[in-house]
Amino acid sequence: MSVDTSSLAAPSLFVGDVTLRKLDDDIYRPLESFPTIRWWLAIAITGTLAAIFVLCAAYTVVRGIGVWGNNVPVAWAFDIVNFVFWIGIGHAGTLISAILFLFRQRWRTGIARFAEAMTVFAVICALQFPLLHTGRPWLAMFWLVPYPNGQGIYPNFRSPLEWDVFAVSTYGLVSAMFWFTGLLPDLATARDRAVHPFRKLVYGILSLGWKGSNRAWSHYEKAYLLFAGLSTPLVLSVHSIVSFDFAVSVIPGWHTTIFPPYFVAGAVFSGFAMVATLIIIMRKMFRLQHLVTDNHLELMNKIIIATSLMVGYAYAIELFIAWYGGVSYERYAFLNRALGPFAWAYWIMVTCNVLVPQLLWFKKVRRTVLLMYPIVLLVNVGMWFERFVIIVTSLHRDFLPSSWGDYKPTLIDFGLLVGSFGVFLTLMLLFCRFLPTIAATELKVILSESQSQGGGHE
Amino acid sequence: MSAELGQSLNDFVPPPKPCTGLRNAALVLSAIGAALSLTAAFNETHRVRLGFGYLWGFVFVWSAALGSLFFVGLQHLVRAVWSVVVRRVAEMFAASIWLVALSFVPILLYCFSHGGASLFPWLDAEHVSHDALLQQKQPYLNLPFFAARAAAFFALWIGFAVFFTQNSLKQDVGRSSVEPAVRMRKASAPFMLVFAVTTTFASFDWLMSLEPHWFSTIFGVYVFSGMVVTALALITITTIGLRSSGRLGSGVVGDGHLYNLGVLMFAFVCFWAYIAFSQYMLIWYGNIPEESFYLVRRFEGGWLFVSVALGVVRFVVPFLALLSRSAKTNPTRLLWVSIFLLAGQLLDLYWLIMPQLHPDRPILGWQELGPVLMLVGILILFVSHFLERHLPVSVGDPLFEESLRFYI
Amino acid sequence: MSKSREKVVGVVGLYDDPSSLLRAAEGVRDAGFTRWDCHTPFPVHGLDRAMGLKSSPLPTLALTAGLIGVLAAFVLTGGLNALHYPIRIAGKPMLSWQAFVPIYFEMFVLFSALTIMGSLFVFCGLGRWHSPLHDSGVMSEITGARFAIVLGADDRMYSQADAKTLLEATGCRDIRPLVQFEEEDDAII
Repeated sequence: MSVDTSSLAAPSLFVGDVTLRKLDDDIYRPLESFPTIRWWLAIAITGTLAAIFVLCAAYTVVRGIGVWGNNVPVAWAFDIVNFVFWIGIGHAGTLISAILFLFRQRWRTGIARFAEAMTVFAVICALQFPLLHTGRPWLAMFWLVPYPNGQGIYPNFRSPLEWDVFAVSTYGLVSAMFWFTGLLPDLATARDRAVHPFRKLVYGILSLGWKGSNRAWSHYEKAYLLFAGLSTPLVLSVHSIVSFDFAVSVIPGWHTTIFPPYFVAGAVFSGFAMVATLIIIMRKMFRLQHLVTDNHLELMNKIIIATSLMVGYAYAIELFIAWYGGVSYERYAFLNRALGPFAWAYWIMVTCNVLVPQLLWFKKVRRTVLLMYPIVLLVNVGMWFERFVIIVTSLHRDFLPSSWGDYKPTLIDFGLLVGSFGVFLTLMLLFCRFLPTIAATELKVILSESQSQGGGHE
Repeated sequence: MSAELGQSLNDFVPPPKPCTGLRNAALVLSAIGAALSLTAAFNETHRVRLGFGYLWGFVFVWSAALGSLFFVGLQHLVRAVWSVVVRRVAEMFAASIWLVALSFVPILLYCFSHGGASLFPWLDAEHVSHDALLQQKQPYLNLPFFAARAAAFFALWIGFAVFFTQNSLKQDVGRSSVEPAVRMRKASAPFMLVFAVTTTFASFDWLMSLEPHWFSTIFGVYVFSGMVVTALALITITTIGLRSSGRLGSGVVGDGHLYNLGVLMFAFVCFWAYIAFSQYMLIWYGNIPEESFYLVRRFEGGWLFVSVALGVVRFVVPFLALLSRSAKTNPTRLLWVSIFLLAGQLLDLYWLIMPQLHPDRPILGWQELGPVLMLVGILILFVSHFLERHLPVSVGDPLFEESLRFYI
Repeated sequence: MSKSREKVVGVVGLYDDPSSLLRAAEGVRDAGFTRWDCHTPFPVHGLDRAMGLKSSPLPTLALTAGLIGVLAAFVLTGGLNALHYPIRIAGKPMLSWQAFVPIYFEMFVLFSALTIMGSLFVFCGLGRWHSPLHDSGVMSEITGARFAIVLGADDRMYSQADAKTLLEATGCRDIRPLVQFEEEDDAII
């Protein structure tokens, strides 16, 4: 009757004719067929990298962290850079599963499971670095966890490093529980689809006897909502607390009040870039382009450019206030970042995080995999360098010129960095093989709603 | 078919009618405020307090208008459907930005006058000549640049406010195409960019530079978070008021819409607390004199009470009041929380501005309240004027019908 | 299946779409059944009301647990750093709540989340792996794409003929007996 509003409608989340039955077939196919040669090749490569991580970690533990490049004044370097980087990667998963859920963004469903898995694995990778940095990880329990001990000494709860212990362990645990709760009904489907008794047994045990009973659904939905409600402030708190590691100190370039929201925005930025990087490969590998559509990619790219601008805002405000505040140490710290010995790292950061993502203003770029893929890869690089710039450049120039120093990473540093990617990607590959990569149950809700309305869109 | 459309829309929303009561109340309020302000203006000792009070009222109406403009832009940016039925209220407040611009003129004139230095210390050439820090800041903190920035900010805000409001009002007449809606969506992303930069620097100029030695990188975000809470509270109050007075028609704003407003309000109350705590805790922890003196002044003597009250009014009470699901659909509860939050915004701005004037203890007198009453009265006058001429709901929005169907 | 002894413990009606399940659930509810349940591949909007279920106590539990967590964090941080072994750090007061807030918050979330997970086990019967639905061979239909109503034989209202008639009246065309292998002894609902 009135004007055609289809150009304003929400983008379709499915391509082609998708039915409830066909949905299950598509999503569970990778679980139920023998891995392809490409998968074996991929895991051989990532497994090798993971082995490098294990070797470098073992070498570090045996010889001590002197094998790293860190030395006073640059006492934190690759280890903390990697820690912050990996924690940040995880944040996109929680954002997608919790915040977008609370805001009823239905497109999240296609990518949520994958991103949540990333969160859990990224936290696992992140945890390795501070533990290794303690030098004697087997004593970390004594230093970090407040348990009654013979000396009667307890951790210093005023230390942001101790806050990290609480924040990161809570975050890892809650993310894993949230992820598992979402998986439950899908595991039950996997159990009931399984033909081989062993598969049936494993998925049966994992699904904890889920029966799809509505008396259970009633509590389940509430629990899911509560998990989302808890995870939303949790994800903000985690990267804020990570930023406190730096910001509560009085080091120029570290002590600045915008750090908490700036770190959260940066974490979401890098996390989304990583989700995009991997999910594009995943959907191609498992032929799921009709469930993780170009519309999904476009929406993710919009979040990437939004968070890129937030990060750019923080860079600009930091520079402005460094000048406006008039504190000579602050002014020097920022001049040194842009023009000092690590200027190359600073400009890599600015280019990859602020300049290049501006290309995403164009719809064509957002929707073309070949055009957006280099951009999201560069964002991954840029966000690693952001942490490098913050940590290393602020430390290598101490207050007194006599205490200035330089920083050079060693081969072991690079081995651990590259190896952590190996650990992460190996876990992701295993996940793609053994668990449903798309939240089938949630997708069924959306599918049944859109079918009962007789259209492909809301 | 416009006839059919017109028919169906009339069922929903009654045509605009005079709102005499609101207008008279606003007239009385602004008249009292103006009388108090004028009285203060002609007395040398009261004039200084009037200056601070005027800035207080100005920043309050500014945050209401600009926060509403942000709400409008945000709805277009995220392509929200549910908010179509409440967006007009936000557009109305956003449209008042030109009045805010007008009310900035006295501040500017005051700055050019001799008395301006009592408000912004960096205007005092004598004072600056003894202060190395302020001399360093001269390239930014000088009157011509300050005025030019304000002019540029207001030009941009008025431009966007006119653009969003006019395109929306155009649809009321008759829906011929989706063109205006598409245009607004396209403009929303650049708007956000402009909004972020201008709001930050405006808050540096008008609030942070009151104490020109102090600086905080999060300050723009802090002011922004309070601004959004204020806009949401105003939108909620107005929507509930319009609904209960029957101006909104029946069945336009339902529980689902109220719930979403409640959720957003709750979220931004938490966001404000997060930002406020981050700023406070980092300065407290770092304990560097360059920045901690700002907080020390606010956590000593009578100001300690204001600081604690700020946390209670802006966070603890609204947080607890909005925590449960049923609270977010309860109009009475939402109304009271919103009023509370508006008081919280006034308190917050008082906390930011007034320690400059009364460093030892908080003082509140008619000299400060007069201009606030006047400016708020003028804002209400604008609202009544708007409601007499325009529909309170954007019935012509292409997604209006879909928005009506929103439930939780 | 070599299982020989089966006993009938109820009846299952299968539906093909959520809307007919909703109508049927209202019918069963109005008939006064208490030992019955709906089984669906995904949560169906409005089914709680159609079944007459009370709302979940989870939010209250989660909030209570969270507050206990905050209290625990308060005792932990203040008790250890201010009373048991007072350490003066960076000139901060002993009971510097500002520096403990992050831990208060994390403990709120931790306690709350663990309680939610634990409650799920209790309320949703997680960890009870067996169900007559497996024995009756309908589970794979439910987790796939169909919707079921189960009437338990232990209901006061239950008699096999009546239950079947009731389901037929709701428009169900696929009604099967709910069976259980003899050696199992599980709760039906």
